[in-house]
Amino acid sequence: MKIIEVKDVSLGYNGKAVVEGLSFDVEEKDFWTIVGPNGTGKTTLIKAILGLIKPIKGKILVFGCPVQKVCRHRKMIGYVPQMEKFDPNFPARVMDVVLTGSYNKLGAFKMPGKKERERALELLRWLGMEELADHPIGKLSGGQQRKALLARALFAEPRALILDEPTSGVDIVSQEKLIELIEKVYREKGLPVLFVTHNVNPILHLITNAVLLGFGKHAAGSREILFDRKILREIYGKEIEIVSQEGRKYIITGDYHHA
Amino acid sequence: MPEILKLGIIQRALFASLLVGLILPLSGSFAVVRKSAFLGAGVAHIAFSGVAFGLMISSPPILWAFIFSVLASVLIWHGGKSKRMDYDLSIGILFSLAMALGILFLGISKKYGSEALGYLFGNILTTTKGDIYTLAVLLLLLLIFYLAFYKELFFMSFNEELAEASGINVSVFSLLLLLSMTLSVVASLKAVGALLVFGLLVMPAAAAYQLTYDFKKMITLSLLFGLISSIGGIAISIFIDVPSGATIVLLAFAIFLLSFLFSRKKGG
Ligand SMILES: Nc1ncnc2c1ncn2[C@@H]1O[C@H](COP(=O)(O)OP(=O)(O)OP(=O)(O)O)[C@@H](O)[C@H]1O
Ligand SMILES: [Mg+2]
Repeated sequence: MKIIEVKDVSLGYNGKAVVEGLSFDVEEKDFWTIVGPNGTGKTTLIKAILGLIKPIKGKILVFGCPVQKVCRHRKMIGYVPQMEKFDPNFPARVMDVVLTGSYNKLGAFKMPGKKERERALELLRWLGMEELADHPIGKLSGGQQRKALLARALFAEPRALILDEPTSGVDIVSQEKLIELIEKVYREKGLPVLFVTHNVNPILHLITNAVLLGFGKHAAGSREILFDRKILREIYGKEIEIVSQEGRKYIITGDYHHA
Repeated sequence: MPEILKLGIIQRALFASLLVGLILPLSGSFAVVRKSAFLGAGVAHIAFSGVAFGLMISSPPILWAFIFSVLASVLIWHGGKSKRMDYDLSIGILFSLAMALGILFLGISKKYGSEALGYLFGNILTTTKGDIYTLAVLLLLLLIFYLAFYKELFFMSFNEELAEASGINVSVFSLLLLLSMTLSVVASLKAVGALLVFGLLVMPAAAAYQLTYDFKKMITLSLLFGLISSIGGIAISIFIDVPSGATIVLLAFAIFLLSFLFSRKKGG
């Protein structure tokens, strides 16, 4: 079954295209990575898939439904937005933020109760931040905020995960944990994942497909395109090294702006 | 004036201030966390230009205050939605336009009299039974709205994009929030006046904001501070015979100052 269909889509702002004529289909059990230099439209693509911005051209369907219509599809996607520090004084604790993940299931007028709190705590425990449940969200580090948002996204057992640089600003150990958690969800539930990143190496073993975005160029397809020197050169505008070590390939991109 | 009637006036004043002391801080809490409190000041002045217009054409001033400010709110909302204008900017522009129009209307009608001043400075002693019923109904409606949609309102105040991505109609809720604040301001105009309504909208909520990281607690504290300021302000004003709007806002400021000094949020 096709979960997300991007059909000859052009995206941009104020009529100016950032991405032009992009097409790809995301199916169940797919693990897509979206990579490319800064400002090539990775976040823009994700926002279009979520229905937050309108394509200039083309069509996007999620669960068979055009994204511009507000149908149930939005409620079935777990989304972690790109790093954005929250207002340090905002009156919300980690628990409150994780519980926003329960809002759709609860429906109108109902407030989260004991059951929801327990699930939130369980997710936080998994991420090793149970003791931060009552901490103000804005006072956490960027990496901790990322984890809280992942817990939020996973709360309602989504049917697809869209993650915009979920590991940027996260320490190596937590990064491993985070990816382990995403892998667990991915394997157990068989739900498709879209993972925007500047460093594919930690998720290389998961990736089945890739979208590469460059300035005025793009490529989308199976994971092999990630190892195509010619495509990589076109996208990044410079030679990218691919090294093999102990039977695994590594891509050295020199594109670690967030690290 | 017979003693019993006088008591009626004071009772009405107390009732009105109690209601205004709850209505404004309630709407104000959302405005403060959404960093759109300045909207309240803008709306108050736009409402005043409506009052001036009403006085000029000898039609109920509050009706025109309502029409003017609702229209302005919808314009501001629309400007914010199309992302072509920041709230700040559109309010700043409408704010000054409204004051210029207000002064123009008053100039044309040659009515600088006590009635116009009453709406500028507020006079809680002139509130009628009808005013009190209106305020009570509004408070009830606001409570229902904020309680029923607490989840949505909290979520979008925290992060609009995330809320929208989860299927919340952020645009419609922004308009509803804006309208609820507009109604609160217009309904409170007669009691506290266009110049001071902003004080009660912002200060109790800002004081509460200093003290807690729990949004529900913040709203509760804000309501409590609003009540203390309005009831206390009335009492002081009667006791030392000065305009009540001033004492209410000064008391709210004293509470804000204390909260600021004892804030948990020191140092960012
Ligand atoms: N709201 C906006 N209005 C106008 N232009 C925008 C807006 N948001 C992004 N852009 C432009 O669109 C282009 C793509 O932005 P986008 O955020 O999608 O890049 P990205 O690939 O996610 O980059 P990064 O790796 O830095 O996250 C950029 O050139 C940016 O300047
Ligand atoms: Mg991005």
